[in-house]
Amino acid sequence: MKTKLSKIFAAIIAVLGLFVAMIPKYIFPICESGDLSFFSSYEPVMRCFWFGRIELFMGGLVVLSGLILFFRPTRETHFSIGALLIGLGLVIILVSFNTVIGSTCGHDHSLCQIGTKPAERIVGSIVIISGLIMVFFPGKRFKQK
Amino acid sequence: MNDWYLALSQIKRNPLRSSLMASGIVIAAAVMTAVALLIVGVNEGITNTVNRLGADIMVVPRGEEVAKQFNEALITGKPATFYLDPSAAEKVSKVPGVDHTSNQTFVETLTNARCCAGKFFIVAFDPVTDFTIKPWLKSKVPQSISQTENWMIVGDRILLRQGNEAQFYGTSFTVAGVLEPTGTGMDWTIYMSEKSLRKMVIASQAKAEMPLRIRQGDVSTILVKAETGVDLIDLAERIEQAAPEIQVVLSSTVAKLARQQLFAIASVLVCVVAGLWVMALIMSGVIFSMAVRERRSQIGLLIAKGANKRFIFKMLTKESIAIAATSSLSGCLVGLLIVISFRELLSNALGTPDVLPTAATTALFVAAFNVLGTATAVITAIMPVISVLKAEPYESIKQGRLT
Repeated sequence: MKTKLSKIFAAIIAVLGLFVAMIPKYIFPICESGDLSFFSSYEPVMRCFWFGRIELFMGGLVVLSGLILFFRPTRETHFSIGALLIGLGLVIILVSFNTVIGSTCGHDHSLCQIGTKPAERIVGSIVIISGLIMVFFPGKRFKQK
Repeated sequence: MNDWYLALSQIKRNPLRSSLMASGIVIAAAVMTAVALLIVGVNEGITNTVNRLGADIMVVPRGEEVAKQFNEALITGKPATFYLDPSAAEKVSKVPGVDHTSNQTFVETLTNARCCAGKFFIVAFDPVTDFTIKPWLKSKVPQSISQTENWMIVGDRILLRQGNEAQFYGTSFTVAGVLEPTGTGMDWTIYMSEKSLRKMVIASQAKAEMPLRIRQGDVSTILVKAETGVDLIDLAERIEQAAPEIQVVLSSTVAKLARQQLFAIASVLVCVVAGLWVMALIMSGVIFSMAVRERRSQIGLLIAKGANKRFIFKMLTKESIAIAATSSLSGCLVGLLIVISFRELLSNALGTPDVLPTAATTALFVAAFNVLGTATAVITAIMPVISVLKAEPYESIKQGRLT
């Protein structure tokens, strides 16, 4: 992958990470989203609060991966960040299933069920696809000095 | 070395250009598929609603606003409150051609009130004359229902199940049965007997934050089952003549009204999608044209070496086919994925029973848009190739070197 293309790709990954983090807070706000902050002393009762917080951290990690790739677009970085993104994407999708960690309550028609979770799954899938592209097309070998 | 190999290696050689060309087509195809599926799905949902109404004719108070409210209540379960004159039910049942009738009374519950479980649309009906609600019951209501003081039947999307209790206007009700999913407003409605409604009205004077003001004999709608072979339009006219204060809603009119509301949105969406598709085609055409112009010297050299123009045309066409077909298919699948993922959210937002058409229609639309998308994208991309092929090899090599 050429450096220019690699940087564009890194920027796309960072934007994807921002989406993962922002979906539960701004795009499809989940219950108690008003208190979804790092320094809030509020003790949430709803399970979806924790789902939102996990996605926030996952999104942060995806952004970080994008930034690493942006500033160091080498073949090795491509491969390792790609593998990391596949894992992160999987976790983003898995936490949205109640059977895995019981992320939300059983209200089938609430916004977190019909909006937040599908959106996280779509973005999670795109993160996995990006990871796969990077693993299989890592570009030219980085010349060590 | 065949032309497919050359075409694919060209795509691989310039991934940025290829992905730019593809991304425009993916976005346009995704939006086009999603919008088309939404329009067809909503239309199918309305048809299903009308087919499942059960009544041939529905009678409501006269007025355009009432008809609109009634229509929304039937399709989305949005609460509606209007009442007919108590004498209307008797007048309607006596009209020749009417086989039998069943009355329903509409109630809207209170929001943020301690006396109510939440905002719901309640319909009171007579279990003896009813012919529209009971056929939808998931399981048989137990015989002991008559002994239950206050019972209710809930739609599939109400978060209550058999045996659960909920309070409305200070009176507690027990769920006696749950309806099958209907894809209509019935899914969001709570049904109770007229007897229970009367009790609730009386109790609301003392227990509710706001008393219910429904007079004895007040009816919101009269559902009419016509005799076999009777012309429904003639019967509707006879009913309106018998009671001028009422208006008749035919099941076909419900569909027409619902479609009218959606028509405006649909036409705007179609225009936006058409614009987007034209833009994507122009973009892919320009990018491909630039790529071909960049390769004029290469094309000239190939011709000079003995490759005929037909071979080069085929190679460039295959390059555009490979990009257009894959991006068009991915776009169509992305559009489908979006509609499936946000099916419920979209149906809530649009106020329709469903937004996804049947599997066969969906597959047909995806296949059709894929073929259409690929064909138009290839035609737009290939047009500039013709002018390059018309030039002499020497001229092409010279121009290619200059650019």
